[in-house]
Amino acid sequence: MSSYFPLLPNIVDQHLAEDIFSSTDFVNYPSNHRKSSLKNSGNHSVFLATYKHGNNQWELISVDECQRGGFCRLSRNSMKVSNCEMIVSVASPDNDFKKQCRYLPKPSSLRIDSSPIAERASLNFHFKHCSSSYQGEYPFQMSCAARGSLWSFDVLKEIESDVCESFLILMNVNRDAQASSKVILEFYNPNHKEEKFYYPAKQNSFTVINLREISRLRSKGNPSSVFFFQCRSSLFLPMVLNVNTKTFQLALEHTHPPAELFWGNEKMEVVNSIKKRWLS
Amino acid sequence: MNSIKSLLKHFFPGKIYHLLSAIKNRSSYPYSFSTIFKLPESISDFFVWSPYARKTYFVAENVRALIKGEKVKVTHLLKFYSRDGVFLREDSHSDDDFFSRIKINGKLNEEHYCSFTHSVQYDEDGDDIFIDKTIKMNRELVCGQNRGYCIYYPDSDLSIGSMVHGNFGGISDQGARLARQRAMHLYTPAYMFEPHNEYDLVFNNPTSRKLKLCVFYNSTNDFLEQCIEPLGTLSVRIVNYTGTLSFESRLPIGRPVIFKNPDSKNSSDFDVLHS
Repeated sequence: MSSYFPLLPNIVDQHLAEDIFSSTDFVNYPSNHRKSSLKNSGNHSVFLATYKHGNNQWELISVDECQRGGFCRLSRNSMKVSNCEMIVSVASPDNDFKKQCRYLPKPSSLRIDSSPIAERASLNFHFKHCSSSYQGEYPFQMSCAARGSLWSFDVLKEIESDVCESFLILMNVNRDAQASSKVILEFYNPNHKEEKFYYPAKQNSFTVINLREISRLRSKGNPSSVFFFQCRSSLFLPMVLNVNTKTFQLALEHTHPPAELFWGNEKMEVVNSIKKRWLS
Repeated sequence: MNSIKSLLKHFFPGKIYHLLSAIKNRSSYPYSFSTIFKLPESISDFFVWSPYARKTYFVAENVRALIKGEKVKVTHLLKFYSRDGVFLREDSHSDDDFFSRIKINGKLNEEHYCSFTHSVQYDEDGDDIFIDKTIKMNRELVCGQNRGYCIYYPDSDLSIGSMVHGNFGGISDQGARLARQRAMHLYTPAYMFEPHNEYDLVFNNPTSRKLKLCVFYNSTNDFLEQCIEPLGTLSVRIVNYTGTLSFESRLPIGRPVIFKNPDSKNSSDFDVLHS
């Protein structure tokens, strides 16, 4: 199972004195492997092609060569792209990337055996002298899904203090550049499910939502209590970025998908029945 | 590959398929093979408590309430173990909400990082058809997983905490350790350590055997060997180092929680992340 490595959006918001910049760190080495498998691993460079999404196609914007064991940092600010455009990097042993394509190339895997853990990059945010990182990826299989759904929670937000802002970052990558439908996100207090707020989102893009704004919309209960959010027609990877606007401290983490609430080989049956209950 | 998997699942349904798959990957299978035939009621990640944090919150998921779609009263239990893996204490917190933000009190009389598990007690409700259907009828094939998050507030006047989910655990609600040591693995996060920051790498050992661990400093070819007692915790301070690190152990998922500038003496650039 191989992965794409997205470059997170820059965060621009009226509550921030300056923008928060994103970068992605890539290391040409498997995240995890058995020591005995080392003899199977080559010693070759990897080419990291970076594509941007627009006009229903993927456009190649750069190719970086990364030596075996080497490190490569991609910064959104060093590219001629907007703050929120979907930017995805694809690893391959060969530098034969198409300049424009409808389908993102299938990424090569850095894995050399069946050890657990997907290959990952460090997805980073930078705000003045502070930064926060998250080891993440966008699985190739997810990028091939024509449909899907999202059900998650904003349990990690911090908006009690005036100097804190919380941003929900939803990421959807589809290999097919023509998959760019508009979809609807629903936010609700789980204790008042009938009172929903709707927010637009789009496939093959980042959706950034200031969670303080969402909390202001609600009429019942404590504004800092947990909101659930969902999308019935598209899957997304959700992350929460908390920001201290005074000290510039950042904190980034993903929220667990519902499948992580269970363990066992048949867990998806349980997950599907829970999602059906909440999404219906 | 997927069609071969489907074919195998067709001819070897249920547990036989999963057993064959586990045997094939036995040198990296993270859990006891017995879990293929019988699961505990729930398992927990292994979470890290930091002695440097001004305050720490634990975000607990109430899986039963999420299944039922309404509030369910439960008691969250947090069991703490010392650096050497000795049981320290148990905290309990009763709540009926979907998520609870639990403040971890006190300093545990510990000067070192230590680890804890999360489990949930609840009143059995035999009339609850939905829970029966979703969990109990699949009891041998599915169980709850107590994931949760820790939120660490650094020891300075910063108003946000840094949050991270638990480390690889597989510890049952009854305390059984289902994680296993297998072949030697090398784990390398895509993370560049920088000389102007200090880091604590915090490892814990969810298995029943002492764990040998080696940290490789890839840019200097130095290394550091240490051992962790069962249920114990080890921290390694990284100072003035540039480059990546690799971690060698017999844990198929042997990775630390990384605390950047853990005591925040020099910087507000505090961060905690899972490697």
